[in-house]
Amino acid sequence: MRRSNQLNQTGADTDSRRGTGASHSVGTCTAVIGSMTRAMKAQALLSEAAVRASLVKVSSAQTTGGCAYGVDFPCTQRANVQVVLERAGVRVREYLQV
Amino acid sequence: MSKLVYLDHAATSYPKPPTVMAAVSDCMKYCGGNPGRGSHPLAMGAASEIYSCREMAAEMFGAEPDRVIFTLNTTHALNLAIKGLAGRGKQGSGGFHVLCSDMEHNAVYRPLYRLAVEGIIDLEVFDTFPAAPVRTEDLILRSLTSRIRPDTRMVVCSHASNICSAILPIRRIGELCRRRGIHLVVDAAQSAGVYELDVDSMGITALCLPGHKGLMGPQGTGMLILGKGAALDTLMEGGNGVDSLRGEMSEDAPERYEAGTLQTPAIAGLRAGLEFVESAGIEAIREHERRLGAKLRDGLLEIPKVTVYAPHREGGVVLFSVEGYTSEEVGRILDGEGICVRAGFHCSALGHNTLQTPADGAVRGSLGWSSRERDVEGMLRVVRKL
Repeated sequence: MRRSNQLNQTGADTDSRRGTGASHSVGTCTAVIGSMTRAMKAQALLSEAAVRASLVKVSSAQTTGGCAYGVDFPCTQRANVQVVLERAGVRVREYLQV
Repeated sequence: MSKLVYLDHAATSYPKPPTVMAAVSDCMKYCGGNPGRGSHPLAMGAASEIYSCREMAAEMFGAEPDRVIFTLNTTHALNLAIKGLAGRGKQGSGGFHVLCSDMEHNAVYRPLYRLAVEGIIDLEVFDTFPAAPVRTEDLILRSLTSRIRPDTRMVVCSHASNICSAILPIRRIGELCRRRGIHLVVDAAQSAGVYELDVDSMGITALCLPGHKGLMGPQGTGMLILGKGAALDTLMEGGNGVDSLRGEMSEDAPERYEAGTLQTPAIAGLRAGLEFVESAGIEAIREHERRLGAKLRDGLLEIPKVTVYAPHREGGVVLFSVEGYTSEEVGRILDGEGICVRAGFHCSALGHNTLQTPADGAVRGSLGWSSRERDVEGMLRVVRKL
């Protein structure tokens, strides 16, 4: 099972176990999107924006509704990812940090 | 098989390009997983195959990949669009007014008829003047405009007729509908791959098209391409690999409308068909069909016993009857000579009524990209002997 920590919309680490002020700029983050098609669209958009992203099936333990797909990306690209996907109208359910 | 002359492209295109057949076969060999249902390589490979077809279709029809919904055929797409929009439209209100053209296929007419019988819509037909020996765009627009009412919510019409070469001015109809806030559902069964179509710039709410006709894909493929911001009620509910713990379908298109496992190998073939069309060029395909259609129509018009319907319309679909023969008799004679056409009513009672064909229908010859001059000449030779 993947282990992820939830991030808020500004990208701050919301998992208190990691301590306040912990940086998420290293490691892998996941944008949880939902459907396979939207996740693939997100991956294509990020690829065009020079963000290396890979398609993943998000662990059901980390979603509320059951199966969902998303994209993994380097956490250093968190802000870029948010801008790219928002501009394209791709709704991200939540951002997770592995 | 090589002796057959295939002139039934309005029913389905044949033969399919070798690349289409290879894509189907390769997909079955190498992408055997269920798309959007897992994370193993075969499932992801199948999902990738599906997505690349969505991307190609989106580019060809002016949309985005997540607005491309795969269906089994155009009829399926039209049912989804018409009933999905009607479902959204009836929420919180009574019945509403819908207009369709006088040339519609049963794929349009029957879903609308059922909604009308159920009291969900009030259905009215507008004229399209396919037999008029003049330009008809303004006439059609006037006929449509004069029937629009305050409660008109939807216009449903074919882009190109399936029984003759009549074309509707979809861009102008789309502009009208956009101005009036009316949904436009377009049946592009005969025009996809032959005429340029752009869902957003043409003001189309739902573009319904087959994969297996002008787009050269396998049978069992169709698409519904949604206009920007369009949303429908679902026609079917079930598993789609998303939000499995919830009772309702997720709102996100296209999976919202794609309950159940998709026909991945056929969609892989459709992707190859789209590539084929793009490579051949839509304009070149249209000109090829127009030229051969003119040859067939002109040849038939020279035969005294033959009546050609809508003879002034240019394109690859030619409808005719022969004095002293029923349409089925002509069809059987052509069958016997290895010439594949279609006789009868072509699932279009409205269209045949508009063209005033005989009581037993008429014979349709329809050209495609693979048709040759000698195919037309072969058919004319047989009809001349009748």
